[in-house]
Amino acid sequence: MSPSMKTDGFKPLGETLSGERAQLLQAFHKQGLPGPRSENWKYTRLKELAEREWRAAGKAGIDGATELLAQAEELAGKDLPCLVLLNGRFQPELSRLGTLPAGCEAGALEPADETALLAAAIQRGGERHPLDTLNAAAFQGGAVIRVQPGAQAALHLVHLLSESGEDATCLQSRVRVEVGEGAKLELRESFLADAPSAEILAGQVAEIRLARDSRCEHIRLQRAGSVEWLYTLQHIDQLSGSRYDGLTLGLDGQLVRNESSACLRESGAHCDFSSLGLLDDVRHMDSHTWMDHAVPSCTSGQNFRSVLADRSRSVYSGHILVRQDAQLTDAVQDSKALLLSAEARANARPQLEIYADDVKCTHGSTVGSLEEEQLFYLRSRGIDSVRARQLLVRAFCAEVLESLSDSSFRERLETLVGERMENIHG
Amino acid sequence: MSDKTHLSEDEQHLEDLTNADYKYGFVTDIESDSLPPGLDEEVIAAISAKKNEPPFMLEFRLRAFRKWQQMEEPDWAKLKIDPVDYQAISYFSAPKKKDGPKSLDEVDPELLETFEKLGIPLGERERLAGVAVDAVFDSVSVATTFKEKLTELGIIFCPISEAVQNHPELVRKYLGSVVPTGDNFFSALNSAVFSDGSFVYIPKGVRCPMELSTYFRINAQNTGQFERTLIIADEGAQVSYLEGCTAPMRDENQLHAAVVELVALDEAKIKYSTVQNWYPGDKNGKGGIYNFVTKRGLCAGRASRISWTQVETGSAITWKYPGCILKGDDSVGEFYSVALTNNFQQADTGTKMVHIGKNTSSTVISKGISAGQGQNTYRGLVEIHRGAEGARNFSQCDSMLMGDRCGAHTFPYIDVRNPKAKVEHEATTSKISEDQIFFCQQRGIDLEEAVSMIVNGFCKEVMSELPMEFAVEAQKLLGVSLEGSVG
Repeated sequence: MSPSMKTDGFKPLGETLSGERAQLLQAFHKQGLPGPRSENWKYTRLKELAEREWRAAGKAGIDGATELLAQAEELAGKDLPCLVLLNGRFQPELSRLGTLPAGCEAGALEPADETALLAAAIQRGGERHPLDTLNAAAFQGGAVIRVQPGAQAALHLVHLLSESGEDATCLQSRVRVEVGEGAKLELRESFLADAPSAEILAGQVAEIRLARDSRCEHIRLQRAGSVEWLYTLQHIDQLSGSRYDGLTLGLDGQLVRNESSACLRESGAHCDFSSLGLLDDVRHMDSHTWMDHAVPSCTSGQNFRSVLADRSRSVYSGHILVRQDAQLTDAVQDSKALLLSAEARANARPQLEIYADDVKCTHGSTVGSLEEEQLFYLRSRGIDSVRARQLLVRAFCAEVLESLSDSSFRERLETLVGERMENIHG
Repeated sequence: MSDKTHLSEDEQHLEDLTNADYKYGFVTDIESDSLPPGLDEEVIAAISAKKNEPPFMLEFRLRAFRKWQQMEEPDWAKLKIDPVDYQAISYFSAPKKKDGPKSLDEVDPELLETFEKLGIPLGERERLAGVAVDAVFDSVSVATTFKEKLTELGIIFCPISEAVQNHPELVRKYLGSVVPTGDNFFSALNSAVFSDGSFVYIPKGVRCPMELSTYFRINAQNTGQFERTLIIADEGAQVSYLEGCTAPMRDENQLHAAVVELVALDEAKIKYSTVQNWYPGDKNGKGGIYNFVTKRGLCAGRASRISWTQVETGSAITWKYPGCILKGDDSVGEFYSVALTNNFQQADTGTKMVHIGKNTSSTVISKGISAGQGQNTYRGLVEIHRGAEGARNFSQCDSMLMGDRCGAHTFPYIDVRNPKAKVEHEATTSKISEDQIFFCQQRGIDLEEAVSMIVNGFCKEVMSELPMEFAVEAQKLLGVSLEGSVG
């Protein structure tokens, strides 16, 4: 049997570790941590998780919260309403929700949501993703965001992650987003950690529901410092004419695993996942997607890029499923990895599973280093080699960022990426 | 879909063809010398004894068998496989020996007739076709032609059982060197029980003057066929090898687990082409061959080259990943594949390109065609090791779907550990173009021919890699295999 995690330290959850949670935790232990023998976990090393004593985070606040928050707002936009979660728990005094437009509610996960969530988790039983089970058993809190039909809103959701005590800390949170018919949500999500070296396993599970003709632009900025393990699982459920555009910027975290799945449930829906990972040292970033084209006439796009320096590693595992009736599907998958060092490593598994004939599905995947010819071109015009390399890497990254609609936000991200690249040695 | 009552003449013709029985489905009645079904160490010893093998072969077989017992059948492929009862299979079946035929005259006339039906260029055709055939009837090689001509050049082309007797040093050195006995479930089984197959050795600097070819044919009831092929091209040698097969119609699923090993030393070139047209099962998915094959080539030497070309139209289930281990610097690996699944056929096939040496390069072109309720999967691995500086891979996997009950899947694996390497993969999936069909029909080309033309165009890059005689056969095969799938 696969090893599981030592979770005796979850007791402090105390009052919240109800019968359902204990049941789920037991289910998680029974499943065990997924290991390299499983196709989907082949490249993700979770072995170390089994070697530590885990405890759930307490309720204590952190000292540098205001500074961290300021840092997050600097990037995401200072004038956006913001909702702050510290270790998953809603922080009303740090949040700024007064400026939320009419028709949009945002706040803590309510007890009713929790009950429903636990019931649903138990019902799904053993077929669940093990880390999803862990999250359901141990989430400390979370957020709910609802946009009423026809309304428009923009929001900054901030996750502050903090270590507590000597043991390794397990932080789990849930986010639920509902966008009503014809509504529009611009969601920016920041992940930040306070400690320079934090033995944290942070997990976040998000459910995003898009009603007919709604829109959601979702940007995730993962700057979780040296948080050891960060995983996010998000599931998008889309009705007809809805559009989801998700972008994940992975800048930190020792082992990051982002899983995104979408179910295009009604015709005319469009879903777009993109991601940019900047990796150095021994960092590892895993991106998994599952695009389920369940009905005809939906479109989807995927654009995943990573820049790898030192001994870092990136994994892209994408899956497009076109079901038998999903004719006229148009699905694209694109993954690119740029290797800047001799010890970096990239894996790609761009997968297509197609059961309908009148569809257009393509995928492209490349792994390589900077083109000598391009470098030569720049150098022949008097640009030194360091600068030339930086320019080419920036251009590589810019192709992911250029889809952003807010130009000043995009420029801030480009600057951040540029600064980061200067510190990464090729 | 056209209404049945308004079938045009062409469509009627198509219907007839589709409903026609498998063309090559006949059973030849020849007395067989078979072992009873079942597999244990005694059976293996008996096989080894029947073939009068030296002790090292028995050891090899037993080692493999013990590994096999510890292994589980792989279940990662996207295939639905009815369980195989390995104890219900007879592991040895050889046509009765009548003092080893020296020429065609001595060969059992019934056997010759079988070859005749299969269209093998033996007898009169041998000179016309210019092909040396090592015809494998079930498990033991019966006739080998052109041997003398090849012998002059020092080329060894013989049944592997003969090679064990006459060239034990070569067999011992290379057998299992590319596909280790414990490589996978099916290769372990093959290593334990293989009955016969072909052995080719091309000496230094020799270019084999003709295409070498073997026709396999599964014949005796309930006999899994376990072929073993070993081809060695010494420094600077060149060889092109053809493999093609048809099998008699049968209701029970038959297991075929072959192993092919290729070794190319410095600057050697091996080209291995396959046209596989085994019984695919009937229109309801009943019967058909299980084809679980392990094929691998080792580019051991500098600037060596191994090229796999396959056209897979037969078998109920195909599980096959011909690969290249590019160990020598500047070595080249190629994989060209057409896999066609119709009715209830399933194919999970692709390649493995493992780049170890510097400046190694590989090309993968895979064309999958799914019709009826066929499921076609490309599964491939491109692995660039740390030292493979300047390695280059290009992969292209295209799928074509005909009908809305079939499936086309692509599962590539890319693993790159060297920044000076470049790996590109692209894949597309599309439907057979109605515009193109219309265009052809408008010009008086009937539907069947139009489909065949379009499909052959789709597969052109692969077909052009096949040797001439094979390409013609393969093109016809594609057309025939697809009859009735559109229209």
